[in-house]
Amino acid sequence: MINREEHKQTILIVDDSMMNRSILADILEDYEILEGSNGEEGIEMLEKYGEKIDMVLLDIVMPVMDGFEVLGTMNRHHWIENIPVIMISAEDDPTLVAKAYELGVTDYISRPFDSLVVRRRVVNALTLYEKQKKLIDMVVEQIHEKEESNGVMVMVLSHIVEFRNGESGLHVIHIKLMTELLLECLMRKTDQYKLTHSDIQLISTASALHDIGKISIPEEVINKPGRLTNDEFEIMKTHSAIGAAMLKDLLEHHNEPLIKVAYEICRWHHERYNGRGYPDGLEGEEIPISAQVVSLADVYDALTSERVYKKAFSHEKAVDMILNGECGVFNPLLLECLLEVQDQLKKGMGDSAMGHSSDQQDVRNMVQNLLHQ
Amino acid sequence: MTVQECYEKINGNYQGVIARLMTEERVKKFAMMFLKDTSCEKLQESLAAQDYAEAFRAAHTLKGICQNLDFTGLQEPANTLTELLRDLEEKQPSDEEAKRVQALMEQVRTQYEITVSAIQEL
Repeated sequence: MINREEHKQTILIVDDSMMNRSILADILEDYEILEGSNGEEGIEMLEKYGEKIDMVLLDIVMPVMDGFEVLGTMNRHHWIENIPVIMISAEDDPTLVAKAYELGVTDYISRPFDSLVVRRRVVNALTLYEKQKKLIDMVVEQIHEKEESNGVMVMVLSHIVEFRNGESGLHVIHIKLMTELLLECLMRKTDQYKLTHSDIQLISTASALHDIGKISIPEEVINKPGRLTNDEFEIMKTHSAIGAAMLKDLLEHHNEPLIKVAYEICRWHHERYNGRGYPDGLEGEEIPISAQVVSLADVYDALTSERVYKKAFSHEKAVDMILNGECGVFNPLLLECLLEVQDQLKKGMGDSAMGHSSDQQDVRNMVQNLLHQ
Repeated sequence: MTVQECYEKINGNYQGVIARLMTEERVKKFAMMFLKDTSCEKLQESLAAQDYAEAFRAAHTLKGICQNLDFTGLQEPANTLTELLRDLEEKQPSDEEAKRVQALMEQVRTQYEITVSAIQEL
């Protein structure tokens, strides 16, 4: 643990006495040692080397900047959470010791110190932190894996719906891509929606489920060549409420964020900003941002795709029609985003049409095989 | 002069330092380094300039080094002086306090010279 051949751990010693630093360096000769002769130099080292520093040994009384100020700075930058600090001081006043612990030090060693004790405590603290780091890495990796397999399952499911609808499966891929682009742009523009990168991932993943309600629309309506009659259109419109109802049952037992977002998207991706959409006629910000974005993406992709009753419009024509309000009213901020991301959008749509995204291509092939068996 | 004889001469705790720092070689190495340490000069200069905050830090450093090396004979007056200066950091000393500081500084200086000359004979 101490003497890993490939990587010596690094210890920063901050003490104003060169002798004290040397004694400590001597005791810890099998580690990489950095030194600072006052708090300010210590902070400079921390700024320069960051988490390459595995531990800090810190004195209290020093000129220019003392040990407590160093701890304060380490707290402000949250360094103390990842770099253990052992205080070594001739001060044995219990209030100072308490203050040091309050500021997050891992251990407190009084002078004069015993070389064996110093070594043992350094090794113990480093071992603990290393274990903690490994655990954090493991958890991060597992979350990542879980998200990835979630994403694959969602893709499989949404492709089943797509193929039943007689579509290629590109639609959900386009919606997902566009949702992501629009949300990222929106996040740069405003903090009104308090979006994080993981929210964006979640909404993009859930976007693929927007039409799952279509599974219960009769085949002859879904796949009717030509325009729908008014009655047929009314039946078609039920897909958003039906999709949401399917998910609502799930939500009662599994309070998963993914299902919650998918519910919003399913139910409200045909609402319009002026309240003229369906099924609930929600208006403006009553419509969750997830559903607002997916509805814009849905309209754009419908316009730019070929249907039995229409040819595909060009990107430019589709954007014009949306901006002119021919497909209903959208959040003006989102329309700004549409214009800002349009180059990326054009490029991304082209790439996915050619099957550049290999994961998604795999899913599509898999689903196609399943359905043809 | 052996390390042990040196410690006897300066009233240090030889057994203690060997127990903590493990080898006589290491003790000797750091005792030699003490010759280059400037905290005693810094302490004296700061006192002359009546910079009590700086004097406190220098005395504190000197005391810490003495603790590490078990230079008990020097550590005791250095410690007393450190604690006296700690209280003076923010204010000017009274005449009486100034006299005590002066007297302690002389003790530190005397013991410091004894210590340095013994180490030089190692």
